[in-house]
Amino acid sequence: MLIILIALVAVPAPRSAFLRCCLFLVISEDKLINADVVTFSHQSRGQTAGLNQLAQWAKQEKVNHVVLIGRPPTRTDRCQASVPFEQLGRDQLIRLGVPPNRIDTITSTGRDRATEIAALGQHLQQNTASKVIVLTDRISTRLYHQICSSTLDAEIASRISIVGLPEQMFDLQNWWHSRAGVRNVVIAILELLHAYAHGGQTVPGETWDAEQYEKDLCEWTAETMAADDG
Amino acid sequence: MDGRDNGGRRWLRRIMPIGFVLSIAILFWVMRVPILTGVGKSLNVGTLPQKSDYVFVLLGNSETRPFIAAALYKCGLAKQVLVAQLQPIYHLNFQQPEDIVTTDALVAQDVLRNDIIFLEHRCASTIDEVIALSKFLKSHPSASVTIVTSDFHTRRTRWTTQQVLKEAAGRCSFVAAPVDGITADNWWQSEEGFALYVTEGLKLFAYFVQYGGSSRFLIPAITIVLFSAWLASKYW
Repeated sequence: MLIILIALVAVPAPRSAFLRCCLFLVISEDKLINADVVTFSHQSRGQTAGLNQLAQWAKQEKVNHVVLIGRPPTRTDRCQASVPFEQLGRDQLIRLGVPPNRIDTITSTGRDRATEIAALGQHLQQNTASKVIVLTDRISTRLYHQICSSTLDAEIASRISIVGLPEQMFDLQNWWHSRAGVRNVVIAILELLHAYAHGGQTVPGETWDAEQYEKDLCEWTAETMAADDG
Repeated sequence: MDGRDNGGRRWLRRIMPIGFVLSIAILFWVMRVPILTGVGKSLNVGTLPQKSDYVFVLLGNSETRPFIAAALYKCGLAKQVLVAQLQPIYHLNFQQPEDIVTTDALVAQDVLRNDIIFLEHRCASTIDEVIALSKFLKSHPSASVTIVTSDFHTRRTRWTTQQVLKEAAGRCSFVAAPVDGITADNWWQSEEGFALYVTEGLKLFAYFVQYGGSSRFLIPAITIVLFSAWLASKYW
C-alpha cells in the first residue's frame, strides 16, 4: 500500500498514468450521430470553439437546427455592461454563415446545469425532434450524462447524445502540466461529485439588491461621519 | 487461554483504527452543517467599509463586485476606482472580457470614466492583480486602498496582499462582496457553490505552498503522512 502510494506520488511514469486515468472519471462521450438539433450552453467552457463547431455542422447540414441555451438576464446584462450569451452566440453564428432561421435560443430559469437541462427537456417535448446532440467541453460530458439521467424522462434522455469538444486551453493528455488544466479538471471532478451526491439541486437567482446596499451604505456613512464630527 | 487472549487483543487492535475513522466520519456527518458553515465563514475576512483614497475592484465576479465598488465611490468612501487589465489572450474570445464588463458596470453605476484608473500590469490571477496594485502603490506611497472581492475570496486576497505588499499591506482594507444565492451557510448545497468554495480552499493551500515558503511546513507534513502510512501498514 505504502509502496503504491510512494510510486504514485514520486515516480513520473505511474504518476502520469494515474493522472491520465483521472480523466475517465469526468469524460463519457457518446458517438457523433446524425441529429436534428445540436445544443450549446453558456455553461460550457471553450465557447469560441463550440460555436465554430456548431456553425460547421450546420453548414454541412449534419444538423437542422442549432439551439443556444442561455440564462436569465443578469445584473450586468440589465445595466448593459454585458450581453447575454444566447444573443452574442446567435450573432456570432450568423457571422459564421448559419442562416438565422436555423438558430433557436432557450433561456433557462436558473444558472445551473440541472435547470438548463430541464429547459432543454421542455423544448424537446414541445418540438418532437428525434435526436439531439448536446455539445459541451469534454471534461463535462459525464456530468451532463448524470444530469440528463437524473433530470429528464428516460425516453427524452435516450434521444440525447453528449459530444465533447476538443480542449483548446490545455493539453488534455497532460492536464496537470498547466494551471488551466489543473483548475478545470479539479472543478469538473468536484461538479461531478456534487451531481452524484445532490443531483438536481438548483441555485436561487439574484438574492442581493445593489440599490438597497448603496442606500444602506450611504445612510451608514452619513451617520458614522456625523458621529465622528460630534 | 493466552492464545485466545492474544487473538482477541490482536483483533481489537485491528478493529480500533476502523472504529476511530468511523466515529470521526459519523461525528462529521452529524455536525456537518456547523462544520461546513464554519469552513465557509473562515474564508471571509472582509471588514466594514472605511474611507480610503482608492477602491480596487478585483476581476472575477462582475455581477456584484463592481456594484459594491460603485456604492463605495458614490457614498464618498473612495475618490477613484482601480481596475486591473486582463492578459490579451482573454480578449480573443468572442465574449466580452471581464475587465471590460467590470468597467462598463462601474460606468453604468455612475462612476465617472475619468475616475477609473486601469492598472498597467496585465493579469490572469489574484497574485497578478496584487502585483499590479503594488506597482501602483509604489508611485502613490501614501495612498490607502479598499479592495473589493467576493466574500469567500477575501482571505486569499488578504494573505496574498500581505505577502506581496509587506508593510504597505497595512494601507489596504478588504470589503466582501456577496455571491448571488451562495453564502457560507449554503455553499455545499449547489454545484456552483461547492466548486467555488472547494477550489478556493485548494487555491489557498496552493498559494500558501507556492508563495509562502513551502518548505517551512511541507516537509513536516510529508513526514507526518509517510509516518502515518507506515504505522497503518505495520499495525493494520
